[in-house]
Formats: sequence, structure tokens, C-alpha cells
Amino acid sequence: MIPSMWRRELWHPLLAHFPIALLTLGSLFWIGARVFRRTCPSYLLPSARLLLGVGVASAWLSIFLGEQAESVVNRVICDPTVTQVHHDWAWRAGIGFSAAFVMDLMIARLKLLTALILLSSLGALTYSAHLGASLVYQQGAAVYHPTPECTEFE
Amino acid sequence: MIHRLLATATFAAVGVLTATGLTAITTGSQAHASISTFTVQGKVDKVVPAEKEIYVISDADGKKYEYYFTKNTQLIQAGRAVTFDLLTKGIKVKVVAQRKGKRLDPMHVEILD
Repeated sequence: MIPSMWRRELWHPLLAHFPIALLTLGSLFWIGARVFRRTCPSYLLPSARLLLGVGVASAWLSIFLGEQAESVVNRVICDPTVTQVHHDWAWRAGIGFSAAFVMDLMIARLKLLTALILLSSLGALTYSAHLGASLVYQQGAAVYHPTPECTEFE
Repeated sequence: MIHRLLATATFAAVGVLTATGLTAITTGSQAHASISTFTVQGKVDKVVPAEKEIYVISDADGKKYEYYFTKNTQLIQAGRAVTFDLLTKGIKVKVVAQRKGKRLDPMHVEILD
């Protein structure tokens, strides 16, 4: 029998790509708007703030769903320690992006520090995303393995 | 001037992050297939009843080990089978687990208290 696509462990990968895209673009737009503030389009900074805001919200939701998936995949994958490291770096990224987002809105003069926090968080996000990919592509986390004869698909 | 400094700092930070990320990504380890038993004696640090999961801190090395009970896991106390709800934080246990890669599937969990 082919398992459902609405399994508990599949909500996390369904959502996880949104914060990756939103926070990466939001950070680049924000830095671009600050570095090239005289020549960049006027909508760049508000766009960056919107992307970062939605990205931060989706990141925390993704972390919550990841914790739900963890207890399912850790029972079957060969190296469950990777999920813990993946989780830790996601938290670091979440805290960093949240701090940068709040700083940008409330302490506007700390632009350089905000830029450095965004870049560091981007590094944490990249590493966490890499670990997430390794969980799927090296360990088959949350992946259904069809039978050799594929009879369940007939 | 400030723009140049900010741009230089940005490029330097991106360079460092990229190098760090690439180093982390390229240092993957080779898997070695092995199935063996692994015994840990220590104190229960955390119990997650909904997941039938326990964390045990080993007396021997002080490390924290995570165990998800399987349908084959036997939980015993004084030679008798007992239920999962007897496991609480702080009690002493001895866990014999089957090691599959770096995953530990508990086979026998003995409550020592």
C-alpha cells in the first residue's frame, strides 16, 4: 500500500523551502537596499522587510513542524544525530533572523550590525538546509521506498 | 567612504561564510555497515511518553543517549515486564540496544531502582 502524502513527517519539507527562499532573498534585498541606497529602487527596502517578516514567521513554523517530523524519522534513519544538528542550526538561524528583523524595525541606526547578523544567519540557514538535504538524500528521511517489484503501484 | 567600507565588510563576510559552508559540506563521513549491541547504564534524563522515547545520561562517559522504543523493546524491573509509565526522570536504567549505524534501537531496558 502506498503511504499517504499527508503524513506527519511530510509537513516540514512542504513548508521548509519557504523560509529558505524568503529569508535569502529578504537578506540580499535588505543589504542591497542599504549598500546602494541612492541608486536602488525605492521599493527594495519595504520588499526586504516584508520578505524577512514572512520568512521569520514561516521559519518558526517550519522549526515546529521539523520537531514533529523528528520523532518519526529518528526511528528509521541510520544517523539520528544529524537531525539534532540540523535542528540546532535552524534555531540559530531563526534567532538570528528574528533579531535582525526586530533590530531593523526598532533600532534603525545599527545597520552594519544588522547586516552582519543577517549574513551570519544566512550562513546558519545554508548549513541547516544542507543538513536537511543530507537527511533526505543520504539517509532517506521521510522517504517511502517502493518494493523491488513496485506491485503497490499496479 | 562608508559605502565602500560596508561593501568590503559584506563581501568579506560572504567569503568567510561561503568558505565555512563549503568546508562543512565537504567533510561528510563514509558510512560503515555494522549491527552490534551497545549497553548503557545511567540515569533517565527525559521521558517523552507520547513518542515512547527516553534520554539516558551514561554513567560511563556522561553522554546523553536517545532511545525510541520499538514494538520489540522489553521493559523490565526485578525480572518482570512493566509498562512504560514507570519510567520517570532520574531513575537508573540499563539499556541494551541494537546499534544500526548511529541509531540505537533499545532491545532490553531494565529499571535498576
